[in-house]
Amino acid sequence: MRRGALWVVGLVVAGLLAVPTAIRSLGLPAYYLVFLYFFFFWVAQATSWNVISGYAGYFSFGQGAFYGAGVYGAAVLIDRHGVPYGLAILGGALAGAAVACGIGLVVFRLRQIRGPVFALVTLAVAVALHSLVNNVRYLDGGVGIPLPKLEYPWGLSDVGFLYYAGFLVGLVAVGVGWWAYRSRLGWGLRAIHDDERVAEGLGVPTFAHKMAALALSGAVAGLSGGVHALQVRYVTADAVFALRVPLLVIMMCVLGGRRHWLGPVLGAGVVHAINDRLSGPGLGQVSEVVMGLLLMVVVATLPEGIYGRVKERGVAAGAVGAAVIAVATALGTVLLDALAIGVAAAVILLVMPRGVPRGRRWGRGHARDVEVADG
Amino acid sequence: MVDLAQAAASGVLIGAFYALLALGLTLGWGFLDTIDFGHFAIIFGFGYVTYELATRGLDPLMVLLLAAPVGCLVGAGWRFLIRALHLDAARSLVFTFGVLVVFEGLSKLVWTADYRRIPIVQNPYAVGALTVGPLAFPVTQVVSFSLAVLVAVAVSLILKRTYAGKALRAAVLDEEMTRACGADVERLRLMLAAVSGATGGVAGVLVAMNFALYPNAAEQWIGLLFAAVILGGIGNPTGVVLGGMVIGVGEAVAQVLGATAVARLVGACALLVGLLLRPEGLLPTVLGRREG
Repeated sequence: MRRGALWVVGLVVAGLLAVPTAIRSLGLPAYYLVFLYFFFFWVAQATSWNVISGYAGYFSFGQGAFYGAGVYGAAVLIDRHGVPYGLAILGGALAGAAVACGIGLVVFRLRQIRGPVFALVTLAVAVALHSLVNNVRYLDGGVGIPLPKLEYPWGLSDVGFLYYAGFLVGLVAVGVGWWAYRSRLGWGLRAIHDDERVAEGLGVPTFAHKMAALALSGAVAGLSGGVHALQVRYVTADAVFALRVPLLVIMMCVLGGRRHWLGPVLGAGVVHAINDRLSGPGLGQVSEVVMGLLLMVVVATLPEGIYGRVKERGVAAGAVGAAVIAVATALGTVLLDALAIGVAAAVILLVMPRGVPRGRRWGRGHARDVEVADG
Repeated sequence: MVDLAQAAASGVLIGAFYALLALGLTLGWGFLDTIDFGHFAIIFGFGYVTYELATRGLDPLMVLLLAAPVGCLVGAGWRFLIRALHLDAARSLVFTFGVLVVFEGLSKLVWTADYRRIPIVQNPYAVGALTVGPLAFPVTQVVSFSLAVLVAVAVSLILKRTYAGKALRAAVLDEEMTRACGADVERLRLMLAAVSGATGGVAGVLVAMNFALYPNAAEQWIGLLFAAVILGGIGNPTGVVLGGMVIGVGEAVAQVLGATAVARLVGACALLVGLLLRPEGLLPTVLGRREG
């Protein structure tokens, strides 16, 4: 890593570690910590998804399966076996990795299962896990698992402890994403993404690489799910396995960019900042509609995500976003509302097309023929 | 023994019902290169409309007659949009997923998260059953069974025997070449999309007649229906009927044997086992070759 980058990382980490103290001493609302906790949570989930589905291109709808394994792994260990929560969280990570390895061992042996079929198989596994959890008494049995109020060390409150735990998990996740991007594994995964047969012919151990990526993805999702069990405190299968988690995770990575480790982090920030403002009472459905629409627009117009655009006009977008936030706060908007508006403005600037797109005939037309004739 | 026979019979009927829901999916995936979660939005959209009309006193069978032509229009319009956006299979998967999520959100806003079921008074068909010896066959499911088999056989005959069908199959292999041979591929695809939209509309009416509706209902069906599609061979209309029946019978038999928890897993298990044993599906895909 370059010296400058090391400084940036160090500053960000130090800054985020200082946030709880700063908020307490400034007397700001504790909700900021919850807000940031959820940001870390989504960073971890999105990065986990991206390792297998972004780098290697194995698109998955099964994020809920890994995340759910983590949540239920931790919850069952705490509630049924009285395991200390630290170990239970690690147990969640193991459960996530185990589910991932189980899927991988079956699915990656079959060459046919790639692309859309892989996506559907992961979805089937998540649905199967949902009904398994709902029907097996030991896991849940359809009644949910309430977790006891836990005592946290160093006199930390719930919110404070979860902030640090979430931050740690997010850091681990980004570390894993960064390592998987930079290492030999990352090169192998990108080769698999581009053309698996050629990659194999050139000596990339595709099976081992895919297994490693899926196991990492499952472990990170499970770890973050384990912490999230403590945040939720009342675990129910319908909430855990809802399509919301895979939807938002896919949304974040598609928006952020799937080929770089920073993509999911960017995407998580943007989607969470906007979505958080839409999740008040009665707004859940509205948020679903908005996120679905956003996903449609992004997929149709900018399939590579905004990461590439950030390189081009990141400074301009950042400046516009900061200016909008400043103006909005000056006009008396609440900070988080201003943040959401600013982020949205920056994203709109990033998503805007480069020039006026060449006119395409709509309808039953023969756009493709025209392109062929031109080229 | 009678229990098992009844289970097998119900399984076959409900399997054909799955197939009617999945027909549009398999045709879209095989011939239009679209993996279409939007089809679920069509199905459940028609389901909710049926609920609204039926509770206002319209006979569900009348709605069923209306559903086919309206479904045609919806299917064609939907194809028009996908075509205009130039989406390939992978992107269509994400795009239509977004559409489904928007649909779920909207239907939560309009119809709330409560279960909606057409009252028996307005929907006498839900309780009627034909009896043959000791076995009972619910009327709605007999209707869906005959429709599914009829449509599947008709579509597969069209695809195999007519020039239009041959052109559609050729276009899966090589679109440019098929066009060069003079087939208006896009128009044929539009027609196919209209047919699959019609099956979706009809299926939606039958869903409303048979089950309670709720906004997330689609999620219960996705795994099952795609399992039927893959088991039956992608793009194979008679295959999807067989695939649906395998799953339906599996579920019903597991239920009778007392493994309720397992019964709900049959779809997923059938998909995994099917992929392991016969990755190309029970029956060949559109072209009789493996999907890459």
